[in-house]
Amino acid sequence: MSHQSAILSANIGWILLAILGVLWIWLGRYWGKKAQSMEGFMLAGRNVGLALGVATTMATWITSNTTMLAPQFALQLGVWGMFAYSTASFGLFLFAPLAKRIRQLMPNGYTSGDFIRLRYGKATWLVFLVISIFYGFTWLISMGMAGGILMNALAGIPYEIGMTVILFVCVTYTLFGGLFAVIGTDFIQSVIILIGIVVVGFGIVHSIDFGKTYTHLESESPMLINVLLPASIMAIFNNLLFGIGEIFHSNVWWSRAFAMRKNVGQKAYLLGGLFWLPIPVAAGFIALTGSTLGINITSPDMVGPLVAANVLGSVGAIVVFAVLFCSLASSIDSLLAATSDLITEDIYRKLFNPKASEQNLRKVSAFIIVGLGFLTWLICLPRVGTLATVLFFAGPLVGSTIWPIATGLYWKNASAKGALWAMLLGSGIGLIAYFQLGWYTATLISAAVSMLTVLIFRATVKEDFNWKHLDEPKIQTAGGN
Amino acid sequence: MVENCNYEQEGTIIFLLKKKYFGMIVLLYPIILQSASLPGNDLPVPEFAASEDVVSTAGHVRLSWDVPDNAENLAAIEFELQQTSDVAFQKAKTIYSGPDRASFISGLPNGDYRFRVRARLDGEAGGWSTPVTVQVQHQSLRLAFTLLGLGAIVVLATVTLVIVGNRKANIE
Repeated sequence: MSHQSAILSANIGWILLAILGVLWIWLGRYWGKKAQSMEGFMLAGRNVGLALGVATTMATWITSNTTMLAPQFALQLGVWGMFAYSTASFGLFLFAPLAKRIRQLMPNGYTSGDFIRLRYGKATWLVFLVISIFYGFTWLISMGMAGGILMNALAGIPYEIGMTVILFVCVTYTLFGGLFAVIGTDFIQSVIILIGIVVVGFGIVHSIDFGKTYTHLESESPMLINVLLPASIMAIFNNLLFGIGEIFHSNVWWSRAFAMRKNVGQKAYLLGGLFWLPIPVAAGFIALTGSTLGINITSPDMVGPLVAANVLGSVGAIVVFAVLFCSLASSIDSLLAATSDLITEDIYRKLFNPKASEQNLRKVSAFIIVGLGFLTWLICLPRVGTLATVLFFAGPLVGSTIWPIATGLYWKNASAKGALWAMLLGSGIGLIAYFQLGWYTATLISAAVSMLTVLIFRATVKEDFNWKHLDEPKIQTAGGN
Repeated sequence: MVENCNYEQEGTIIFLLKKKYFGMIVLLYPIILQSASLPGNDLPVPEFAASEDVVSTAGHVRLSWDVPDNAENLAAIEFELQQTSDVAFQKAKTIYSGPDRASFISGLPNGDYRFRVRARLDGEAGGWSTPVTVQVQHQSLRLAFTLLGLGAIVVLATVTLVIVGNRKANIE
């Protein structure tokens, strides 16, 4: 890994790490006491209100990808890149009506996998599980990596140790409290993130000479302010569709739709999207000022934190450290919980042990959370690429799920075979585009192929689905409830 | 941070230019430039991680370099990274000076860019690395606008699907 000059002393970094780590684990234990039943552990008792709903939506979507990848987009793709990243909020806006529909059609549902299995059958379900679990892993890996990179760049803490600590903390408190702990900590994390971003934003605006920044970019990096930069033009809709694909298919968002009270989901997703929208623009803008300020960037994914911390000094670096730790933790915990639910419910219970007791399911779920954390740690150890290359590798896969999911929720005549082929063809052709044209085209091409496939099958294969088949009875475990 | 560097002022070059092999020196100028600061010290010569020329279709590149682990005063060594568009590095500018061992450069228009790096310690400079060439060739605008149009169609269709579907579901 390339050496990058640190801003905070390692001692301060360790102290911050210890305070935040202990705080989240303690809160996880505290909220974990509420998670008595399996439904409580997986879905927070299906009783999440609007305030917690908005907070968890926003905090989960403000990941390392918002605070670290949005600036990377601006640094690589210029002004269009900055706005392209903010289009990911459309995923939340469009999921708002879907959340309402999901709650209506599946009042006892548990996972996005449940929907695909009941709506399209086993073959499509298996392909969907591969896509969803693969995506969950790439997201987890990108955030584990981000934790290591962040702590190394800000405080000089070795990458391996920083990455290990953040994964350990998140695994521990998710293990204690399930979705109760995840949503509770998300609320506090979202407050810290918002305050931190406002502080950093004001600090940067007061420290930067906009005219000088523009002149410098014009002479040294002219393509960053050129509206005809081809890669950034391609990235606009690619990123928008990537965001939609991530949210439409991922159990992170479905589990929240199931967990929120009736009629809360739609409002929570709309408000969460609105709160999220300006953050990548603010985070992206500061990346464009980096070279004007003479800050050397060794890895594009670190440009945001480095510029903010350099401009605002040690205090700013502490704020950035806390904001990024919270944004990482709020997403890692959500992913651990949602992916563990998907594997426990869809693979273990549905495929191997339909009569598993509640106690048994809790044990399996805990084992999966620890296993996921360990696997992520193992893959993160050799830093495999930048955050963008790791995360966007899953782009074509998630892009292929948009139309099968949306049509499956609204069209009675959406074909099961069509959904299967849409995912297979979309993923395959999208991956070819990833390697042949660039990561900034892959999701777009995948979503287009998938849409076309769904439409062709709808026109040629006649199906009439009965919505009542989606209302599966509650989990009947050997242990009761 | 960005500073221009005039190589004709370097002592080694001026000394050589005074000699009678002027013609030969002019012919070998690019090679001489690369070894112009042959170290009168033990500073290691850094090498780029990319041993071959790099092609970029988005105008950005990450350059990383390293020196042997057994080099003396490793922790104190700083590096100077230069960028130029000409083969001989006559119009080179220093784009980074400091201890980092990588630099990310973006926003480059179409063209060939050459980079080289050298170690510095206590005011002394080591030898230049073997240069690396980055060829920037942006994707065609026709392809970009084709994909922009395709993206607009897919997004519009998706938004319509959700809005119409939601309305119908509400009526039902």
